[in-house]
Amino acid sequence: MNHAHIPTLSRRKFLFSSTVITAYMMLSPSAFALNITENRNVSLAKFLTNKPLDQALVDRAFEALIKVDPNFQKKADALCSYIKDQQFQSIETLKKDAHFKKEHQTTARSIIAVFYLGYAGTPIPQAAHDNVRFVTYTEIETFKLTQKYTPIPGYSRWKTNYWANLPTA
Amino acid sequence: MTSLFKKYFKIYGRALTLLLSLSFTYANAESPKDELIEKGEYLSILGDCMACHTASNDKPYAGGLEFKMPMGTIVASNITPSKQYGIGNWSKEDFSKAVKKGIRPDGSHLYPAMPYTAFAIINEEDITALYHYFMKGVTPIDEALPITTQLTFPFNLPGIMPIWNLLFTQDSNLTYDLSLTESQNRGKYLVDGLTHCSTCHTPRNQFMAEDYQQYLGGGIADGWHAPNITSDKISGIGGWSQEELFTYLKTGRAFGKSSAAGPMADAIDYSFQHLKDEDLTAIVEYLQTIPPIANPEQKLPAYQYSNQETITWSDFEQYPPHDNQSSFYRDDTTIDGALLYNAACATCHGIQGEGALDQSIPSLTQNSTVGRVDRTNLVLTILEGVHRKPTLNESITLMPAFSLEETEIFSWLSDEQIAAVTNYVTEHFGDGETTLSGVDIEIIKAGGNTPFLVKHASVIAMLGFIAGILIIAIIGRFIFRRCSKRSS
Repeated sequence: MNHAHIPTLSRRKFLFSSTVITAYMMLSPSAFALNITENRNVSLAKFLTNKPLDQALVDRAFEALIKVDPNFQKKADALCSYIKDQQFQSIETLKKDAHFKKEHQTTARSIIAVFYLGYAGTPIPQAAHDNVRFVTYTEIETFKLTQKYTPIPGYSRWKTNYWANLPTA
Repeated sequence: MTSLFKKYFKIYGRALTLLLSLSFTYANAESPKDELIEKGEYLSILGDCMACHTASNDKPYAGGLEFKMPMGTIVASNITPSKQYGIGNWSKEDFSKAVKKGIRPDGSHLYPAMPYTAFAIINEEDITALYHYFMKGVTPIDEALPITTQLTFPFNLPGIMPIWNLLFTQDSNLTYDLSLTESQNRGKYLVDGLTHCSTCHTPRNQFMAEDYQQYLGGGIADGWHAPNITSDKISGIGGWSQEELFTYLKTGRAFGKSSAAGPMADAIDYSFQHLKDEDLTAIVEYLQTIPPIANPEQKLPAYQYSNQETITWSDFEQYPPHDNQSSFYRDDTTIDGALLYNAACATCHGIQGEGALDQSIPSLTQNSTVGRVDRTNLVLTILEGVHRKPTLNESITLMPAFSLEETEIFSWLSDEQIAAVTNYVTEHFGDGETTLSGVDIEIIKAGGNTPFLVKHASVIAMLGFIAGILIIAIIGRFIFRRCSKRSS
């Protein structure tokens, strides 16, 4: 009896297929649509930055934002509810919305800024005190943008005078 | 006038010819001597004489370098041809006896900080070349040593060294091993003789003599752990390729294996990097034939450990509990290994211990110093830093020192902090274990554990003397009584 042509689903094939499907779902644009099952702040931050952020980083970012502005959590919740109610699928569609521009744009910018700058608040140059709250240095998205061309400033990952030659695009 | 001119011309011509022929003769007579001096210089590099006998680079071979030993401080002597302060009055026989037997012309004994136990096998031809080099190729430095050797009781007693030599020096006749190739035999002559690898890499017994049963199985050098360099695949160098060993000795570094620091960095600076390729090859080929000695505690080759623990960014980026001006930012007493590593080490070695992309700064993963079960060298590297001179193939190698005693460009770390950061490194990049405390760092700083007999030598010697006197007194009394009985 020849079973050569009978299609069978082996465990290996099943795991491979599952991984591919999961990866596709994770990386597709809708992956960053507001996820109602996870922590609201994490879901909102991921939606606004379009980046995979971990819980610890988001918690720290919101803690800093709240220290700068005690009402920030309310503003974030309002923005979160608006996105969910209007069923926005991505930041691209949200940023064109007139009501968002009027009511929630500053809140969204504050959230995005934390993940790109690594701190909340506004620095005052040459002042001993300002309202800046440190969040992270190594995890900021700005460094990830240039990761291909340069290490995180202050970290030596290449070789002496590597910057002498322009990076190839 | 013309004839007079011709006459003078003839005289001058002959004189010139004679002068030229004389100079040629002189040159021919000089050239073997020059070659001999050149050969002697090369042999002195093989023997790494400079490393111990030079305290200041502008006074080569003038001695003065101090060696802190468990039995006191030994000071390297002046071996320049200075007649007053050096070896300028020594005959070749005197020189040979000092180098090979550890006995000075006045009959006094050298201490085995000078590796005469290894140099005993140097052949007559090489001794001649070395002698000529030190007599004619080295500039005499007429300066007395600022400090002399100071040993503690009972090691300062006369007559100790002849007994030690009788017990522990080996046969000076090196036989040609028919089971080895020509190159391996050359390697054996160098390893056991001039390069005196065994002096550091063989453990020592209670009397500070090399334990030849554990030949090259790992020893101590100036407080550093001199690793096992037998052919054992896990504990030794059995997993290293010939090319890797050659490159390590030539440059001080073998990617993915190890990077030299401490006394080995000196050995590479002063000696190995300058050796002829055929001699380095001979050394490597011979080392690969050394019977394996295993250290059961070493579960994997030291260079095989990779990231054992995941690095979490929030471990080293601590969140300030208060505002940015809080004392949190000024606290330098933390013993949190993650914070210490990322403040002091990660800048160069990377958050994940990956090092530089071209490995000009070595990775801490797959690194022999990190992966070795004996933490001594890892601790000392952090305490003292790394200072390797540029070689033909490598630029200068520098790592800052982090101990209070050694640091010059960085704020120091306490013993507890050194222990914490070392534990962090071994836990994340080494074998996953954390084994050190501040007390261990103190012991490593002090040069490790001293053999029991050496540590308590003065007490043992005193008890010996008292016991000897008592025995003599008892025997004397017994004889006196017998004599008294006979007379009565």
